[in-house]
Amino acid sequence: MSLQQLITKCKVYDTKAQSELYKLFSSKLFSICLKYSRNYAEAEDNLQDAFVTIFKKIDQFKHKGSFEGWLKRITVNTALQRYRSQGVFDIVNDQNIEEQIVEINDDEDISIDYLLQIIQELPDRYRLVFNLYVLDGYSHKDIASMLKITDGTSKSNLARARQILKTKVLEYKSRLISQSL
Amino acid sequence: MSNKKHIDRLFQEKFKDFDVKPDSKIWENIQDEIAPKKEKKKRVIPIWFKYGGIAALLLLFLTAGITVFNSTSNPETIVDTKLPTTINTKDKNLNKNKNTILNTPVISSNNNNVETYNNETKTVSKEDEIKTATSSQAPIASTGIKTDKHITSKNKYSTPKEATKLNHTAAVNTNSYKSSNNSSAYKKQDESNLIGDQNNSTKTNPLNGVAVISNSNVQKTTNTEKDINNAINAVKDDTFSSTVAQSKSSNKNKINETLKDSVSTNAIENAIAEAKNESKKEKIKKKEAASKKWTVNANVAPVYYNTLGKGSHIDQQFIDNKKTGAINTSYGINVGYAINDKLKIRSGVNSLNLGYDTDNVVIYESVANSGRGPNTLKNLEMPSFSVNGTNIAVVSGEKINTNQFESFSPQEFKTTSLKQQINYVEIPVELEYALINKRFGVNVIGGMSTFILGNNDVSTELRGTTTQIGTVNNINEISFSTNIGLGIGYDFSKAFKLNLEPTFKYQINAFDDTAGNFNPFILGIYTGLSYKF
Repeated sequence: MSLQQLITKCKVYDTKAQSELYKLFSSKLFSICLKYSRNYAEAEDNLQDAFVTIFKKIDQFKHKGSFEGWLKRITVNTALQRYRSQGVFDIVNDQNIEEQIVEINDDEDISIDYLLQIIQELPDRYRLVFNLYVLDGYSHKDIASMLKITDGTSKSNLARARQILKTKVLEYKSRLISQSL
Repeated sequence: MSNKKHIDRLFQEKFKDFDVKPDSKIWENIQDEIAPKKEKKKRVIPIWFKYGGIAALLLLFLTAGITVFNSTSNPETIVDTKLPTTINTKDKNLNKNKNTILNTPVISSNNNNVETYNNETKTVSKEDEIKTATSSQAPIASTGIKTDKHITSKNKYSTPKEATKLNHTAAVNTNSYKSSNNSSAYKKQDESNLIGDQNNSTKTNPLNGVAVISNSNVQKTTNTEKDINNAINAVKDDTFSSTVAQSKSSNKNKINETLKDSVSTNAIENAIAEAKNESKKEKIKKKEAASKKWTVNANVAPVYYNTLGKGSHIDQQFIDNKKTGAINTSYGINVGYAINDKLKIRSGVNSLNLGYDTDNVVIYESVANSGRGPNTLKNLEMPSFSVNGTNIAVVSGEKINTNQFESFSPQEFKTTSLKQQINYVEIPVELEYALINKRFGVNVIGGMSTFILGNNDVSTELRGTTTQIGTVNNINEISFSTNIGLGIGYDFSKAFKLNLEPTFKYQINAFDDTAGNFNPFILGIYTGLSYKF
């Protein structure tokens, strides 16, 4: 069954097609949910919600652009919907933060689980901005309109997120070193 | 240690092929949620209905408002126009001398009739004022000055009376093409005032053709002016219905706007995320609660009206007379909103007819007592109530001195009663508290009502027929009552409910300057059918 056929069947609430669609995309979308959520349980909730939306709104998909992109957008939006209202306390003045280069030593030994964990531990807005900008390639302008914040806030949030992540990565490394010693 | 690397790169590389298979229970949950499609559709309905309810309430208040302002202009109409007609009906009943009545009610030598005539000429002059006002306004408009300020500042130069008239018309003019709803209350007042005035003139038209001519003059002179034409047309047309229609459409617009707003702001995600945030069980619960928040109730009731204390609102001499309450009807519609399971607030509009009789009253025709003689009643106005120069006098049977009426034949001397009829528009605001909240429900009701006076007349039985003899001048245009009641309801389906509500309403300031201890109350047994949504 082609993807097109699958979509058409999903539009008429064909249970089999829905199940097929879920199988095809659930892993990809769940990884998005994991990145955008605070923890595993909330990621599950978001995935569930995202799929419910997808099946309800699939008749609005007009085959313009990629279907996977559409699915991802819905998934991201589901997460945004949940977390964007909870703003973070902006300690950093928008003006003072510029695009800093936050560099760390290139090691291959950091587990993805840990990276996911520290992303999830970020304050909601920092996490959203970091994900949107770094992992999903949205511009600050897009992010600003998606989160209803200013460009500057988006930039400063990103900078703060990078700082926090860097600290945590370094912590991890020092722990590794101390363990190995 | 290897090269330095941007932290973004680290994450990007690591998450490039990040795929995690979710737990299988997620799919089950999703299936559960998407399976019952009907539920989802239902969710949309309460939102619509909420706005619908608000719209309905607004509409109710608007219609009530219109009636208020119409009724405030009514007294004028009554004074101006009713007098000749009362003469007519009365004359038909009483007098064989038809010629004088039908042809020239005005020419009668009676004082009161002269008064009527004066009143009519007053309305004529009013018309003239309107005419002059509008025509004098025409040049202003034609110079292209459209703002209110200019018009009103121009008004200052004319005579005060004219100025106020001009203000009225100016206001209406601007209203008719502005169509903004912000100051609708004020506008409504103006419009309805003007309508009232116009009604006066149209009703008196048969007697003064001048008014008609002046009307058409107004139109002719201002033909070039769209604004003024609009205003006049608006008045000429059935303005009442048009204003209602306007308000209806404006409400619709509002709803549309609000809905549009909500739709535009990421409506899809909003609605969905909202829907999802609740677990399924919560959903069902909420649905139940939300879907039953509003009720619309149509009711009808027999109402009994009487006074608690000894007293009379008509005159001192009737304090001791027996009062008999009459049973009339009230009907209306109200909208309720459930604040929680137990408490419900409701409001609406009711039309309420009340009546009560002051018994043991003697009515007689007296040649001597013309106008305000010793037997004139304090609060009862009997304008122009005369036949062939014979005036009607009313006295209490309790105080009568038979010697006074030696000249009367026995059959003329009969006691009758004064029938007071009042018509109110009632706007109740009440709280309903449920004592038993089952299929068979019991609740207590408390609140207050605002009464807006519509009709008020006093009639009596005269020579075998009931005849209106006047109006009472001390009924307040607006009065209030405190209400308590007991409601019994029976749900015969999920949406429909039968209600029975015996309610006691104690009127607070219904009358001014009553004699004795006159405390009117209303007892009604409201039965109704309500629809929940």
